[in-house]
Amino acid sequence: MDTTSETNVMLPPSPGPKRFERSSTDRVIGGVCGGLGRYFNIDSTLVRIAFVALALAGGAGFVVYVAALLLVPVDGEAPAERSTRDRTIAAGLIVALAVAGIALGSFGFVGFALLPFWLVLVVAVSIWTFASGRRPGESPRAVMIRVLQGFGLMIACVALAVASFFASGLGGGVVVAGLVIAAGAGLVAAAFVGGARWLVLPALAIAVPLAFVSAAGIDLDGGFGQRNERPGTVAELRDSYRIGMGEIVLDLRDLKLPAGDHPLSVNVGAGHALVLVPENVCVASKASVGMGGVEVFDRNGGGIDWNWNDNRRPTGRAPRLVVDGRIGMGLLEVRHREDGHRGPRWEDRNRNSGERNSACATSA
Amino acid sequence: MRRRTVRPDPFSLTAGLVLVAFGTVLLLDRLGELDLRFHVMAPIAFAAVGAILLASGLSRRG
Repeated sequence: MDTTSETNVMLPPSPGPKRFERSSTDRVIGGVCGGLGRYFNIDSTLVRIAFVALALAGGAGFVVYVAALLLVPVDGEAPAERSTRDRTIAAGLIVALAVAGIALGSFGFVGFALLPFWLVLVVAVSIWTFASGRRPGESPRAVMIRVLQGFGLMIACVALAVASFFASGLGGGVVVAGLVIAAGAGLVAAAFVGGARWLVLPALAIAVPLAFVSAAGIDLDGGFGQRNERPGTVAELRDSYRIGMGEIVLDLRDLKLPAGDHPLSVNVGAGHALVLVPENVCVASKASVGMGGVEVFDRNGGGIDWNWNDNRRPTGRAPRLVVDGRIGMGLLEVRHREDGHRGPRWEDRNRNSGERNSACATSA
Repeated sequence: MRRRTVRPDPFSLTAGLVLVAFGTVLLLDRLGELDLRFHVMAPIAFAAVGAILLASGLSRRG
């Protein structure tokens, strides 16, 4: 009698080698960082930070990410399911990047060159994700389609924002505000028939520039570009000058201003106003600045929501020019000489044109 | 007969209401009823954008 007995022992299936797969759940773009985090059992946020750092320092993060997106399967997907076309695209892209790297000398340079594309990729996917309320599909093609759609949406929003800025600055703010309210009402109505998330982005794209224009008090009425004004006589001197966007140079040095006050209003929507005055003229000035500054001879200042007041009295019978500036975004300068300098001297508040308001009494 | 109640999309509803409120503030400013400078307008704009982002995040969780 055979005493040996056979026992069938059911062994658990071998787990096999650990496999790197893109995550279908923990993903922002294609699940590469989520998959790496799972593979190494670390927080995927740390992996994302490392990828961003690598993308900034040499561009390797961008190359590795794109390669992994195209070559690594998503979790649960059999390797055979990957189409040969995806692999061909991946191989072609990697070869192209390598050639570009060699041609441009170093990967560091390529990294900087690729940085805008990397940012556009992330921003475009984020915009698409926000607008749709969904995350892009797992396949590289789905990701690329979403990137392109997100990019298109981004371009449309930028165009809307620019249009809103100019429309608001040119006096159409009421209409733009009405459009924001209409978009909001449309969203409320759409909420009961499935929602319309995408409408939020264009609505914000027109609302935020309008808010900026309103807060800064930008008035673009008055023309664009460069304008030079040089009245030859007192009769030709107007009491108000304005520029919508650009620069106005108001040269009053040919004028023989009589004693007394001469009011002068200067309005700048966005840009620069330079007022050149004769040395025998005392300048008193006040200004309302949305964002920017004022420099009157050796005195200057600036900021946001900022008011300038420099009330000076003339010595003897010197004429006084009373400047009243309204600056939406930019700079108002008053000087005796034009030294070619343009723009604020914020780097050193004590450094200025070096000129003095010498026709005014010393006390303010 | 049972009436079907339609549950509104919380994100669209919240974002829509925020935009209506923000647009009304902007409209009043442009009509001269309010005079909002940066120190008031910036917090309002950030609050509006923040509320929309918050609604987006919460609706995605839900």
